[in-house]
Amino acid sequence: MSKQKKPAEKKMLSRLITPLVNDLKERPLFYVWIAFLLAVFGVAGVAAVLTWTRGLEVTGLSNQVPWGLWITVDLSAVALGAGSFATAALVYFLGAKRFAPISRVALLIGFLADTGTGMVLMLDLGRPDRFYHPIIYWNTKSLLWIITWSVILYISILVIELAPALLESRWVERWPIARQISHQIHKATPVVAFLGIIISLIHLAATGATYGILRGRPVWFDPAMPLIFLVSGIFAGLSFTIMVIVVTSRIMRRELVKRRLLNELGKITGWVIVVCGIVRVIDMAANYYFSYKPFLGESTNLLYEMTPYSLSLTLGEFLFGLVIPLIIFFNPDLRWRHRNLVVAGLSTTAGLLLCRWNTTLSGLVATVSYSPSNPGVQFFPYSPTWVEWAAVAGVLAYAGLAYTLAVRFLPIFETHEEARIVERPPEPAPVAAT
Amino acid sequence: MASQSKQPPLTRRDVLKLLGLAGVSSVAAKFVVDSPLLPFHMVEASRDAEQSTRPGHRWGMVIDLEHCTGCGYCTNACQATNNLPDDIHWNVITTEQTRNEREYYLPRPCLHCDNPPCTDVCPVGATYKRDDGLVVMDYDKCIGCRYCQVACPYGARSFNWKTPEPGSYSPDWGDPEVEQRQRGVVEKCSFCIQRIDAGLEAGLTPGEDPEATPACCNACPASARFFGDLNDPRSRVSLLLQDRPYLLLRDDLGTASRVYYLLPEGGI
Repeated sequence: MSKQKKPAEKKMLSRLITPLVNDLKERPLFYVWIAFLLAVFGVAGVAAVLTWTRGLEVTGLSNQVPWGLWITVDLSAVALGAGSFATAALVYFLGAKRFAPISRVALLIGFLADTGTGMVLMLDLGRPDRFYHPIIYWNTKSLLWIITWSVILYISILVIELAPALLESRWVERWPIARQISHQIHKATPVVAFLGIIISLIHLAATGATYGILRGRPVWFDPAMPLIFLVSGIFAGLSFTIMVIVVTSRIMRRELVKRRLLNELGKITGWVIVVCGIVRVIDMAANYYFSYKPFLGESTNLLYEMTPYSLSLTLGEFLFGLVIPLIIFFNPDLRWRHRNLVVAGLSTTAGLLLCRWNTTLSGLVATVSYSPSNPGVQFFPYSPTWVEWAAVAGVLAYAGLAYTLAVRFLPIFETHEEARIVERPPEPAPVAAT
Repeated sequence: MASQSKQPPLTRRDVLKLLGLAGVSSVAAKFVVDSPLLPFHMVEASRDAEQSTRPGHRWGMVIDLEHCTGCGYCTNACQATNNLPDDIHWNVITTEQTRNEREYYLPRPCLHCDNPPCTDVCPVGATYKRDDGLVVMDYDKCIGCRYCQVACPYGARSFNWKTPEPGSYSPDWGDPEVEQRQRGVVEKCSFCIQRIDAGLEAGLTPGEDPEATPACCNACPASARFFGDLNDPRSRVSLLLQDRPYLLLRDDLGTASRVYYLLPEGGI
């Protein structure tokens, strides 16, 4: 028995290994990249084990600053993944079906962002073993409860929407049922996408409202917070998606998405940035000039004094987040060049990260004291430890790894079904495009 | 079923459909009213605050800033009774200065707000307000997200960053009456809920019988700290509040805390 099996086993092994070796010879950089990401992921694994065995004392957090880098990364990831629902809204809600070739890669980015958020949360929670508690114990007034449910529901929706990518791949080609299921999902996609858009809107706005409802913290207490987080998330997500597509095209040396389409999406992103800028300016004027909020001025002054808040606010949120991308996205010559789209993507991403970082920490490091005689603002320092940075790097590595493998082995850009949507003659009652 | 050619005004199926629709929409309405994104729950919160005049207990504490000497006995008794590790303090005493540069001491337990900012934000309902006004923690539900810590304007909540070690205040300052909390949950002053509940069951009056009164109030040597039922007009706390001017910490936030501070002479 064993004698008979051996040659067969050998054959199997060689059948698996020979193409791998050939592939390794053909594109060594791919494997270097994968190895690098795995190494980063390994370091993050050490950080994660350290956090789970020793508790959150390995972080730089304290009772005065209980939230820090990890929450910032969560919120930023949610925002950078917002391109998924923004493109879904364009394709299925606003009738701009020509953007369909972008939607699958946007969905993939959204999926990686939301699962990455879940991974960070598993570290950030004091009791990660109780992660399921928001599912069984409900407090519908809590924004974190809403966010938890949004993450769960949206990940489920993204799984449904992304399933065709797996079912159409060459790995399952031999089973015809996969095609059939994929076709059924495609038929249901508009409904699923619509649900996804609603949940995503709630999700994104709730991340802002998480801060906006806290009356004890004047820097945060602001009814415009959900709107700001929503709009900034949409443009950062769109811009990030454009950048990822351009970089991927460059690496794969193929035009994955028509240049004209990216160009148009860039213009749309520019208009969202304009909306965000208007909201932000009105909000700042309302907070600092047209109204009085106790301790807001004191808090801001303390932040200017003790932290590079002024620099990160002007540079980050206004230069990176508004000015640079606006110049690129509104100039037809500039936005036609792929390199500039990458610059705009990096700029908005940096702006968004700084915005979320500023928001998370400004309300915590400058805390209003409860002293009745000497009411004022106290400063509490916070700096992340290597464990926190390593965990963040690990989540980025996870997203990079999953993205790389998905783009290489799954039909992320070659979407036959969606290409058909574009080619189909106009429907009898077309939805008016904006 | 299919043979009905004429359309009757209402079939059984229609009625069932309507009932289903009504059910779904009432659930949705309940959900919308409870949601924090809409202002309705604020209305509800104020209604809750009004309800606190209803019969039943309403526990509160009175701290006399004139008499407090800042000796720290209250903190020590709390550390021992509530089995706290040495690096977590439920009761914190700070030194303050009046406008006339006179020093006074400000002890701060959990203020057990009538309109607590911490309970609404908890994603699992691990912290909530009881009918008698106590803001309590369910340490078995808490997932350690620390949103309540972020929401509390008084810094009254502590997180267990590491596995708690036994404190050094026991047995000198009393025997531990509760288990230590696990690593990874948020904890806070409970007004010695174990004493109140056990005392009431034994027919004692919290605030008068020491066995049913929070450890900090028993330990105070300067008679600066009192506990009792604010709904009972003859309780010590109610009488004190009738006689002397008091303040609430950060009352501008509308938290309606239930720890009343009697002002020192000459005001703050």
